[in-house]
Order: sequence, then C-alpha cells, then structure tokens
Amino acid sequence: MNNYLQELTECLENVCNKKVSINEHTDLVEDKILDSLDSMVFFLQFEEKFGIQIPEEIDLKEHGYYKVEKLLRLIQENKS
Amino acid sequence: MIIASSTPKTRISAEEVFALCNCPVEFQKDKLGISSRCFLQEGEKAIDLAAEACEKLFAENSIDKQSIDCLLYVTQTPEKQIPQNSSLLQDKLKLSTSLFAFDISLGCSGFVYALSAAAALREMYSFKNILIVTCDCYSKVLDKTDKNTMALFGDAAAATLVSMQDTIGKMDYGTDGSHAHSIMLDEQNILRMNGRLVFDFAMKTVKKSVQNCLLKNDVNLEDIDYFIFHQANKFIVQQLAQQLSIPHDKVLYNLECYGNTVSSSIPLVLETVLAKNEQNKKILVCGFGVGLSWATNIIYI
Repeated sequence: MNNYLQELTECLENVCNKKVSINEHTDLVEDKILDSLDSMVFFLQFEEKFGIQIPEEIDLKEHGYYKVEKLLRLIQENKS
Repeated sequence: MIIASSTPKTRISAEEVFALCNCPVEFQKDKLGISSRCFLQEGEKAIDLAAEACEKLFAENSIDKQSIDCLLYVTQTPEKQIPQNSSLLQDKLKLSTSLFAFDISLGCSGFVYALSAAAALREMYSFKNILIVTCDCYSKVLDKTDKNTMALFGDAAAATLVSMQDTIGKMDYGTDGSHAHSIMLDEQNILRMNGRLVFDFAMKTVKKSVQNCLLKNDVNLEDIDYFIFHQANKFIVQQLAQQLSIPHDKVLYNLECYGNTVSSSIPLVLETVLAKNEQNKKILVCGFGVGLSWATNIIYI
C-alpha cells in the first residue's frame, strides 16, 4: 500500500508542479491539494498511469474519488 | 480578411460572478484567465449585437454592403428558431436580396467550419465578399448559480469578411455525438456542462486534430506564427499548448475581458492579430467544443 501511496504522490506532484504530502485520509479537494481544473488533469493522468477507467457520468465528489483512501483501493484492486 | 467585433455594454466582474455562484475570484482570474465578461441584458437582442459588429466592419473599412454576396450566420443562441437568423440579419443590414445566406448551428468550432464553407463556396460560386457572422449569447441560457458555466461564458458577436484573395488551408475536422450530452441544454433550456468530459476530449482529440491539420497542409508546427485556440478557458489552452510543445509566446489569448464567447472566441483574437497588419504569417485556428465538434485550419496572411 505504501508503494501505491508513493506512486499517487508522484502523480499529484506532476500535476501540481510542487511537493505534495498526502496520507490515506486526505481529500484532494477539501485539503486543497487540487482545484477543480487540476483534478481534471490528475484524473486523466491517473487513468493512464494506473490503467483504471473512471466512470464518465458520475459526480466524482459524491462517489468519493477525491479521497486518497478510495484511489488507493482502486489501484490495489486493479493490480490484484 | 477583416474582422470587427461587438460586445454588450454591461460588464460583469469576477467579483460579481463570485457573488452569484461562489466561484473564487482568484480562480477565475488566475486559472480561468477571466477578469470580466459582457452580458446582454433583458430586452437586448443577439441579432442587434450581430448587426452592430457588421455595421462596424462596413464603416471602418468603407465596404459597400451591396458587395456582400454570401452570408454565413453561426449561432446556437438564435433570436428565433424560425425564421433563420441570416434572413433576419439580411433585412436588418439591408443587404442585397441576391444573397446566398444560411445559418450554421455550431458553437465553439463554428467559425473554423464557416471558414472552410466560405472557401468552398467561393470556389464554387466565385463569391467576392463572404460575410461570416458569429454570435452566441450564452448569458441567456446560463444558470447564474452554476459555477461550472457561469464563471466561463461571455457574450459577443464578430463579423468577418472573407474575400477572393484570402488564403485558407485544408481543414481537419470531426464530430462525436456520443459525448454531445457533455455540453447541452437541459429540460429547462439551461446550459449544463461536464467539465471533465470536455477536458478529456480537448486533451485527446484536439491535440490529434492540430497534428492532422499540419500534416494535411504540409506545414510544420514551428512554421506556424500564431496559434489561436478556442478560448474555452486559459487552463485548457495552456494544457493543449503544453501537450503540443507550442512555445508560449505563439499562443494567443483574449479571455481576460471577454470570457468564452463560443463561436466568436477565435475571430475576437484573430481581429487583434489582423490589426497588426503583418504579412506572410501562418495562423493556426482550432475550434472545439459543443457537439462534440472540432475543426482546425490554417489562415495565411
């Protein structure tokens, strides 16, 4: 799981162009890691990096996609 | 090619937008690139704005209105569904009744499509003066509390005269209706937009369109002097420029005082380029958005 957190951090730092500190409880928008436009870049890169397709029509906030916990779970499920 | 534009008199600041939809002022100015925009007010008509742009074009360039032999009116916020706006404008401007005129219902890609149509019609019918009018007033269909849309759009009209000597390249184009719902009027005729879908589309499809256009015209990226992308917002245009490795000084913006003016966004920027009276330049124009529709071409000046 730590490796996935590291990979996720790298992905975020690539988008934000600065050092980012996250943990399992981080909410990427609430904790001001990403704004709404950065999040679009992030999810595009997330999909490409981890090979995970995020559903198109859903409300990302409502479905918890801004929570690191969920993203880590998705990565883990995809790898196994 | 000559262009004149017109905007409504009422200017809405980023602060006023924040008060309406809670979109932070800093975000609007820094990320979206928009400090203010103009909106039509109650009772003001889009067709009047379009006419104003045309009259300005005629007056500033001593153009005989009767010399206009073709009129292409690009809009998705028509005055009326029936009749077509090109007819209404023909009457308003008192253009010749021997006019080849029709409406084009396209948004963000509309101007680039209209350029191609103008080039083709010119070849077929030897038209001497083709008037492309773009006029979208999205303020009439916005939910002012929805920051996904309220913070982005502005109203404007542009009148572009395409003459015999104007050189227009080979267009790259496409249509993907499977994602049409990502920018759509809802049941109450209010504009709704899925920003993420539109962003993904811009990053994947538009990038390829630019590359295809360059290939079709046998031109290298570095040969292009100016890049005018549809002014969706500054962030998207910057991301596109980065993806395509375009030097930042070649990418033009005018969002700051206009916002996203839909079909008029490209001609509004082009107007400032043409005003410089430079020669031997290649300008790549790329419109993308509602439909989803996209079109990229090169204008040679």
